Amino acid sequence: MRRWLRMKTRLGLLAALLLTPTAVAAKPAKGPAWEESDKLPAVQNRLYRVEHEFQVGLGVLPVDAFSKGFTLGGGYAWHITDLWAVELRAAYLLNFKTALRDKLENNFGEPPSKFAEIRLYGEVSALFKPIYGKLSLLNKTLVYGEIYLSASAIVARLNGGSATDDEPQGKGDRLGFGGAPGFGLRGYLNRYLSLRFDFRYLLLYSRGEGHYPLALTLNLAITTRSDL
Amino acid sequence: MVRIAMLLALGLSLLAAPARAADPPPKPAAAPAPKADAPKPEAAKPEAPEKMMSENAAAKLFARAKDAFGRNRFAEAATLCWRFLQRNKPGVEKYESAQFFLASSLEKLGFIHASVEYYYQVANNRQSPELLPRALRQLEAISLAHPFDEGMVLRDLLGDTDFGELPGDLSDFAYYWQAMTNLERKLEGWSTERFLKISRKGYYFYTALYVNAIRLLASPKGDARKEALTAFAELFGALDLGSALDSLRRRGEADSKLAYALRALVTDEGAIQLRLDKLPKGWEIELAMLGLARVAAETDALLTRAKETDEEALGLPLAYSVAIGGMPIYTRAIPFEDRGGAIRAVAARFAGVRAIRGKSLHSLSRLLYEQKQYAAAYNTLGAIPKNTELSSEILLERAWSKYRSGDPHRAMGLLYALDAPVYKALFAPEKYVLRGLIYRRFCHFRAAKLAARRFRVEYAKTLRAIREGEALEEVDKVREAALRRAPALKVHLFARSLRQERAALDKYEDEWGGGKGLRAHLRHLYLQKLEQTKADLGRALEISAKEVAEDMLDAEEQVNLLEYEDGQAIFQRLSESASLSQARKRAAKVPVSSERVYYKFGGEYWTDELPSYKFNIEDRCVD
Repeated sequence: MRRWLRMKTRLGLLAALLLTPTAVAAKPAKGPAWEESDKLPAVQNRLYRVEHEFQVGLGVLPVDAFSKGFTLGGGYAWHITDLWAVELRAAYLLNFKTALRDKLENNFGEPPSKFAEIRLYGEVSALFKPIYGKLSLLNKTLVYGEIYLSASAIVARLNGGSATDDEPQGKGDRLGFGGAPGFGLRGYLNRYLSLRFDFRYLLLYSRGEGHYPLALTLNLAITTRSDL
Repeated sequence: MVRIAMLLALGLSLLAAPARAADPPPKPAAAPAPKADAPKPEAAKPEAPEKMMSENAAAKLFARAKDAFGRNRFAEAATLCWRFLQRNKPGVEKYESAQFFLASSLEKLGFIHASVEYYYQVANNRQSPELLPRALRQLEAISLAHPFDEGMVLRDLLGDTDFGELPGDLSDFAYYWQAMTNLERKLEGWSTERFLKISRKGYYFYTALYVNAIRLLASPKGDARKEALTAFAELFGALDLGSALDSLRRRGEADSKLAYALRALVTDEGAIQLRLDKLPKGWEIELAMLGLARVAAETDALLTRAKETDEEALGLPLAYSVAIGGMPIYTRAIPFEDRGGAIRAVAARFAGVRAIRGKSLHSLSRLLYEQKQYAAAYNTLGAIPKNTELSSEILLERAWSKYRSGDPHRAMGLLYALDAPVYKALFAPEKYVLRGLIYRRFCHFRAAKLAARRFRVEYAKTLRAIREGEALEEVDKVREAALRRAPALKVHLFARSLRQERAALDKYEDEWGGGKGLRAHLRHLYLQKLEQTKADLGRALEISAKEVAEDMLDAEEQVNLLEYEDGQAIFQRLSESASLSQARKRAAKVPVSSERVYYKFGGEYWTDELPSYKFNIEDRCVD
């Protein structure tokens, strides 16, 4: 019974001595793509690996001084690898006038059509997800998450804007095109549900004018796993 | 200890000689070798020479080859060199140079074995003495970085050839392998003589010191003991031996076994003088540990400094402190005049020195474990530099050390780390045994039984195959484990690189094509070597597979015993302690906030955390 407790002497010096002459890395005949002595990935058996993602969410376009937009949107993302994903998203906006705009319209006679508003927009994005991590919550449970960068191409439907005395109706309904750099955070609730927060700067161009609202969105995502 | 010594004796007899067909009759290494008329390996000869070239045409062809090489057009340079060799006889001017450039081009293109064949030709023939050191240097670099034909290069070429004076540290490369060849042939005296010619700095010195520390364990008696002690004492050096002895005396440890062992090697005046009758019992372990600790300490100091080798940095004070398992032995400063050379020598083969430091610490930890110094063994294992030794072995050995030193929580944590995907191919049946022991230690008898069952699930098929007498090399798990062990490992790696290089020849079908083209020649060369290596691998596998099978049967026996004793223990606990059901110790409580952050294990293995896992388990045993 006590001999269980001895460590195998075969682990002893013999093997080390025999391997002295060359500093050749030991590699098994078969094994995972990355082998023991090769450079290893930081995380093995990654718990949260997503493939298809469906999302719904709310958001806000908070920086326009004349109106605040609230978004209701959804989308789909295909996570090609742990590092890269492509995504399609669309959002409908509810715009609310600010006090400043009310003043301008009511006290200074500015026409409502002077102020451009985004009605809805759609985007195609590429996501780069270099940071994956875990945090200890109260030393009891773990919160897994990732940080990613996004680059999007956007098409938006705008209304109003640039009304003048000669063109009192403004530019009316029109399409705007542009791009949106940004970043996002995802926190995993469980293996199939996650919450993501996206921060994107929409750079839109429409009929000679630029519109640069900031979009903050919070989405609930349902995901399928790539390893199942 | 006897067991270690026996294993080491076996190890030294097999030293770096992976399954050769037959040993030549012993003769001292480095006997004068024939020069120009030396037989060349058949494979490296150009096939039937085509029409000979005129001297002028040959010179032009060589110049074109050299020019292509200079422009980094290695495939073209190889073609031209090959054409030169085919159309000229050995002995013509530039013949060896063409072989050298062919070897260099092939090396640059990744055909390591083919390049070794041609460097071998140049170094063995030595018709152009100026090419010898260059060829040897390339062979040395290859020997430190790639699997290669060790039999041909290290024993046939280096071991059996007297090269005379070689520039710089190249002579150390030759002396080291001559010493090792002699040691393998049991020519102890010749081996010692060659070891002592190695200069006292750099990779080959530390490797020689490492080998001679181990040699002490394998040579407990007779002339072999005397030679081993002579080599060890001389390599270790009178100053270091004296420093160690003085230091022990100053600390009042003059009566320790190590101090007695040192007194048998060095006089009070600090001169080396062997007094074999004064050696205490267990001297070989004490001195081997000291030797290994010295290699680890000195290489550590030098590796740190070798990252900066400008003149100012070289001049700064440098000392190393030798400690065995955390117990300080002595400190010695490297004199100013030796400092620069020592640091530069280490910087020249940084990876090799780092690897030998890893091996020294690993071997030292094993000796400490055998000496029942478990905490010291654990700490020493933790100091092994990353990516020098197999991390799975380190984890397993740390787990055993922790278990034996009375910390089963950490031991189990380390065993869990061994379940990481990267260790999927690890053959370690004893991890189930240790896991079962730890569960039983906490009276988790079902879990202990489950560990035994997991062993059976993992190895049932293999054990059945072993019992049914299947050829061991054909049993998957046995074969895989055997391929990771000496002596099969090296041959396996060499065979694998031969296959990869041979496959890569297809990329050069157009450039090197044709019936008598370079590609056909190299394919033939690789095929021949593969056939030879296959036979070598078969022999090596036979030895390794037998060891693996024995280990597996041994582990099964231990698992059987574990299961039986678990069954016994369950009843014993119930009957003896039915009225005393007070739990001994609850699992440690995790605080909401503390200086230590707790990450609960969820099946995801963060590579940096593998050595830090701790198993928080409730002790269900009752007093």
